[in-house]
Amino acid sequence: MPRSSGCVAVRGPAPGSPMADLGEALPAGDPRGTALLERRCRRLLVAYPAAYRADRGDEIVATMLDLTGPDRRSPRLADAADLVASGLRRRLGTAALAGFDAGLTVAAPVALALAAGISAFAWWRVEPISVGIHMGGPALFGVFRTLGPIAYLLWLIAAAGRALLRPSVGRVLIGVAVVVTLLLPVIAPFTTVDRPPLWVLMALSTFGLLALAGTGTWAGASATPSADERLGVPTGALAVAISASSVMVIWPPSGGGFGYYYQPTIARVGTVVAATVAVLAVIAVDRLLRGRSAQEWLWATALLGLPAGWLGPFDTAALRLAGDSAVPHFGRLAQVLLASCVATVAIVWLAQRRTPGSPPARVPGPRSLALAGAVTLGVSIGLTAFVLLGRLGALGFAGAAALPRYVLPRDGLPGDGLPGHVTATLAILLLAALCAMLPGRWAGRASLVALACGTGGSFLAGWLVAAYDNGWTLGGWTDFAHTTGLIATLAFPPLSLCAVVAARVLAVGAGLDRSTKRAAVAVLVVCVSWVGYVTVPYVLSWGPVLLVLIACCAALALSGRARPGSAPAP
Amino acid sequence: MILAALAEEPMHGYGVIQEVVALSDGRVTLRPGTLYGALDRLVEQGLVTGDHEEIVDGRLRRYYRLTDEGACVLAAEAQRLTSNADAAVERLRRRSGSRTRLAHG
Repeated sequence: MPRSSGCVAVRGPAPGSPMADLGEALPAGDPRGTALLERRCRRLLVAYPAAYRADRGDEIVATMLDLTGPDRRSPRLADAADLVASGLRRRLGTAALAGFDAGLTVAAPVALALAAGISAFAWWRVEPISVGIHMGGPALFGVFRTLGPIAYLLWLIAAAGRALLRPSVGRVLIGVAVVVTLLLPVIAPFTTVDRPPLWVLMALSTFGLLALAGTGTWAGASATPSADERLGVPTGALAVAISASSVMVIWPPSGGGFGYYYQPTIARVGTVVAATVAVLAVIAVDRLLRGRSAQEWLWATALLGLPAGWLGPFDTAALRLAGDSAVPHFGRLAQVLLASCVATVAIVWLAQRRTPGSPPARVPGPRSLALAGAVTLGVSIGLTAFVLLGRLGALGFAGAAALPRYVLPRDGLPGDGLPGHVTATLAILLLAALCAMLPGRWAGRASLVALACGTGGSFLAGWLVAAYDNGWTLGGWTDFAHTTGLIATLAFPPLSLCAVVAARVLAVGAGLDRSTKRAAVAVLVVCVSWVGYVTVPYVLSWGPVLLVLIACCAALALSGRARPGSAPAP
Repeated sequence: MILAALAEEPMHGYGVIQEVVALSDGRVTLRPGTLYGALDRLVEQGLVTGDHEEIVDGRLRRYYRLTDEGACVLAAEAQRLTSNADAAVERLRRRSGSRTRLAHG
């Protein structure tokens, strides 16, 4: 679109000038007030990419000024939030993804119903039995055995608000519930009671963010929801709570160290959440097989699959936990990382399909493979550095340096030397990185940034995992083998990244030189083999959500081959 | 709604917002971020295009108009809604007719 050369926008006073403090004191229609308003509107445009801002910024600000009127000095909160959300959406590129917005609007009410249902179940059936197990100690104010009910109450209010109040007010309630849920781990150390498990809080918050994003008019949600849409959320929440409770009766919690709060919440609610995601996946596959568009249902499945995967039901008895450090660890962290990787792969796959008129997705080649390799090399360096420093007794491992047997990697009991599978994982990371970087070599500054991000990110993540493994303490860690076993599971994301890029490179096929093809095949074999070796023996512990997502992807691929003219596979 | 707002003449962003409010009897209020996201999408789909620009009181106003393809899409959607409304009215007419017959025995 041609740009006007005669645009003379009012820019307003310089930052820090006295006018910046005039605020609401200026009379209506005062030009200084208009300039102040314009400056505030322009600040909001930072959410948009710079190129878009340069092209459309003046136009959007003019519309904001017209809309706000001369009697205000600040844009309305709802307009400001809408502008920032739209800017972020453009910055993230979701506007160009076919079916993404529609998928968000499908996922949003389901996500809110799940969050409220999980909250109701946890408060009703889990809180009363939680005391004395993980959450011992006196009740706070004689009421709260954990801090969970504070967040649970807000989620129930948000679900009721969706049914009874204006959509904008309902969205504020969802936002409050998300913020308070995220604050619970910060508040908990200052009280006499504990918080619910982190995975539960993470799932609730992510469901809330999906609900927040998908109920906005910018995503295509109705500004005037129908009675069905309003009542669907509390009804769904009730169904989730009752279903989870029924599962708990049929499948009673096992006792022991993983009983009560942890196990019922995660395992029993996870069954219901998985069934909900499965219903969406079945609808998507059914529509595909009938030759109808299913992109929005696939998006809803993948988006809900991410937090739902964290609640995947699994039997903790089947886990490979601490106590046997001779084999790769597969516990809660591994399950969550694997779920996140599978859901992310599904999202990346769906993102290949663009809206009409949008620029096509970037075709991967040797450079993409090289960048993935640089990230993986960075992770390899970061984790190796963490492990080596840990063996020297740094980073909080108090007893490590005193034991000479830490000098060589070996298998053994907890607290003993570096397990062999950890060494193998670090070697696999290095091998995958070198294979990926071979055809594209060094992609200049981008590779350097990728390497730095991989190194720094993995070192920080390793340190966080070590703190998490030691009750969120910052020192005095002694179980070196167990902690490094946990840290080795951080290899899942970079190995998954390499595998996805390699698969996409091979899918392009034509125009690739032989060395790139060979490298992609090698990367794919190395990454998939190692992740498979570590995870497949514990497939029953993955949780049905992962299986649902994989089945959905497989069905999508099969239907795409069977009906090439109708299936909307990316 | 945006296509309907642009059906008669080219409009700038604020004009579209006002027109949508009028068309929906005040039930729908487009916010600026939503409006420009939707306009971008419609431009990419070839249903709407830029018409001209002008500066009013130092503010840039960019006008948009419906393309021929956009007019076709709008006409098809209007036809679909009209058919649905006609079908609903016809059902209601038959319902009231059958009730009258029942009342008269």
